[in-house]
Amino acid sequence: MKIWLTIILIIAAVLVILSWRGMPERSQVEGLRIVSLSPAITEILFELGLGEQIVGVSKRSDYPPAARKIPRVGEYGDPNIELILRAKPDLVISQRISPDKIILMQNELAGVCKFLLLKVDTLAEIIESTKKIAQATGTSERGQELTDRWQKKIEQLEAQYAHLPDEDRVKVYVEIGANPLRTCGPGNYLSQMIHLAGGKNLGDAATGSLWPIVSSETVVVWNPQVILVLEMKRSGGFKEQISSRLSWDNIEAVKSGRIVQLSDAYQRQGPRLFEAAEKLAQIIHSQATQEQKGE
Amino acid sequence: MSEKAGRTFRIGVLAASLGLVVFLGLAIGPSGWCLNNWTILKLRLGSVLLAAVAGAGLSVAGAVLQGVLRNPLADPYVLGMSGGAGLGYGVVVITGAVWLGSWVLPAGAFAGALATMVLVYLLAKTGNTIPVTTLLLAGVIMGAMTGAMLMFIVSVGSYEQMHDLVWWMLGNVQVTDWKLPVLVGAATAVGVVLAWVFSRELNVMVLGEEEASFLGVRVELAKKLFFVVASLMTGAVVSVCGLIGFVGLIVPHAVRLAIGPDNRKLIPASAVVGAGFLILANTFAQVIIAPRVLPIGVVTAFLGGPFFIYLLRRRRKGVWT
Repeated sequence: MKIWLTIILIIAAVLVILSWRGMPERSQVEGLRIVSLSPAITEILFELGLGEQIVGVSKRSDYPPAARKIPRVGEYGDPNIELILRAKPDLVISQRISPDKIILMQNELAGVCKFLLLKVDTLAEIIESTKKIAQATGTSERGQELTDRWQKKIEQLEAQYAHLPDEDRVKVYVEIGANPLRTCGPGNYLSQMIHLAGGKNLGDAATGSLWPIVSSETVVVWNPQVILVLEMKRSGGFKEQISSRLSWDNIEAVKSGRIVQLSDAYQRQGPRLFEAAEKLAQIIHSQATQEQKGE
Repeated sequence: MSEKAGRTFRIGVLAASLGLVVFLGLAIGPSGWCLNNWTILKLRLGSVLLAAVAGAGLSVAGAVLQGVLRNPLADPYVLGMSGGAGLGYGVVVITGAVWLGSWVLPAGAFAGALATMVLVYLLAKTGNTIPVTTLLLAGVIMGAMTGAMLMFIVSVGSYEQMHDLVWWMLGNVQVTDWKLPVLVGAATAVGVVLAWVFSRELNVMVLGEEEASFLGVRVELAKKLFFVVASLMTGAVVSVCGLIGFVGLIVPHAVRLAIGPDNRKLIPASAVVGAGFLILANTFAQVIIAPRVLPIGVVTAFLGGPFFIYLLRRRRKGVWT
């Protein structure tokens, strides 16, 4: 009997200690208090000069570096209502996540604060969402300035490459993961960027998924001219790893050594993509081997 | 037909079917019908060989464990191997050690499977014997515990890592280099031959341990041998191909339904049927939604389930003994 009581008390003590550790710091914020529920939205908020107003972000909001110091209120796609409410927000901004989570959020936040639901799956949607956020936060001027600049970058690329017929485009294979081989499919923002930059995303043939898994044979038959590697943790050996795969020595990109690692700006559907699209055009169209790393 | 002619006929049918399946596996792939391009054939040959090795290994491991444990529900994963291998694999994925080299993932999975095997063995050991029931229970418990740890890893991991892990759990036989498949092939070949050599002992042990010892079988030694052989084969296959389900359970049963429970025939026949079955399943997995790929485990269940139900309904009398 005694021993059970002791065990229960210990468990209770551990829980209390854990809960203390988990409490977010209450930041003193002047004006609008904003909670961002995705890393992309956090980036947009910083671009709009609203970094100081953010009182809560999703777990992987790590860019710009200042975002790392903001209290976390759950993971992207899995927000924690209790933590959000504790941050006392005036405005909660979320990217599209699963419908049940959204309904839950809407119910919980009704009457407490404003809730903004946005899509950032394509470049156009990023521009549109930035405008909406600017509107909701009274930063329309800055928003207009930003989106005009982004729009211009897109138009420049379009002027350069939009007219290219399919057969003149550089054949690009994007490798998202190696185990299994995962690439980016049609409708994906990366696919859109590759098209914008004058390339042809070979993964577009794999319809039905934004991140399709394909077989080795398929990639060999596609015979890409450029292989783009998108994986944060990959070390320097990725080139050898890809080149040494069975039968991949016949792929044009492997023969010419045009295997390029993309920086993590390409992993996030956020404002950094516009600059990244410009860089992508250089990567795709440069004949020389080059490597992109980090920011 | 005389008994001998019948046997020759059966062996002939089996060999011919395997040949046909291998041919199909080489000729058909995600890029369509192709027989004259060595670059592509090389890839398909790799997958066909690995599928054959995995199919044979898992089926024989299943047959052996069903016999030793005297339990029709036994499959290669019943002793907790799947959980252990999955945990090893999960740890590698989550720590990001993947990019140290292509050997890290299989090494992690194999280490996990091996560790589980040793733990199950130690748990089940009572004095100098390993009672079958204790072994089975130890396996189930270890499987559940490692499974829970794997789920913990999955739930703290990122979305992509989670998806890759799930994909691995459903199995695949893609070959990116020759070294690992050759290693697994060698290990599996040794295991299959050992199981076959000792199939007489296995036959006797199915009758019961007491009976087997009366008939001159050193039961505890034999049990350990079968346990180690089945575990090593499963661990080797799992480390490279992931957790391909269904084969190890269904193939031995199907073969038993067709040719009877004699392990001297059951072991080699299971190896051949298992190999052919996985080659076929892999071809399906590669082409059915090409250029995308299905996990092979999905196909094995889809193809194997209905076929097994058919066999079961056709011959409903006692097939187990």
